[in-house]
Amino acid sequence: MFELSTGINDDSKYVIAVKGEVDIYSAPSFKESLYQSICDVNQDIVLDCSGLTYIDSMGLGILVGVLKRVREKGCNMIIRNPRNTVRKLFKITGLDKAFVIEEV
Amino acid sequence: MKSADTVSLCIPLKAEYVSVVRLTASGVASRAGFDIDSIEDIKVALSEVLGKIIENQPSIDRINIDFVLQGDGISVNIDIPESIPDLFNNEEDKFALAIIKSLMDDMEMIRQDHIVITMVKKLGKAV
Repeated sequence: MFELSTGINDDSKYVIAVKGEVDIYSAPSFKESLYQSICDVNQDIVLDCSGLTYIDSMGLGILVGVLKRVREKGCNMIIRNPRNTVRKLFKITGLDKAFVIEEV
Repeated sequence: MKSADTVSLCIPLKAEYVSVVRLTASGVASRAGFDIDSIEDIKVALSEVLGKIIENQPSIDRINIDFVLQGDGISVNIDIPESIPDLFNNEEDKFALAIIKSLMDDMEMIRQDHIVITMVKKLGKAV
């Protein structure tokens, strides 16, 4: 399962930290939690993935959906500190071009 | 000639058991001599296939997964007891297919009276 912690403001960005695994089992609640977290946010969002140990294509699809919503508000979404295994999936799927991926 | 070691797992086709398969894949692949990166590749690819089966065919109760340890790698055979539609036919599925094809050395689906999906990963081939 996964864990989300939100609401930490960092240099005018809204930081959401995700820990654990996002797979076919946890994806529905991940989607609900993440969408709930961003619904009132009108600033750039940082998704801190340093604690994300596993994500599958369903999870990546959810992140794409979030990115679309964030961009509709004129903001951006940054993927921060993904582990190598997670970063690899962004690269394979070409999503490394859609998201800003940063190491801090 | 010594036959290949095979580890078999029969699971209920439910999302909550995919993590059990990942855990098993991790142990078997480690036993086969894969490094951590390659073990992750196998776990991810296997989860993607199982996820697509669960999405497309929730009426199946159980499926069987064989991990066949070959001298030069591992073959993962997923036996589905009945016919299912194409697993990768919509836009979102392309992520899954891209992931599987990138992480594994070979993947094929054989359709007979039942369906067998086979994925192969060779030793020393981490992506």
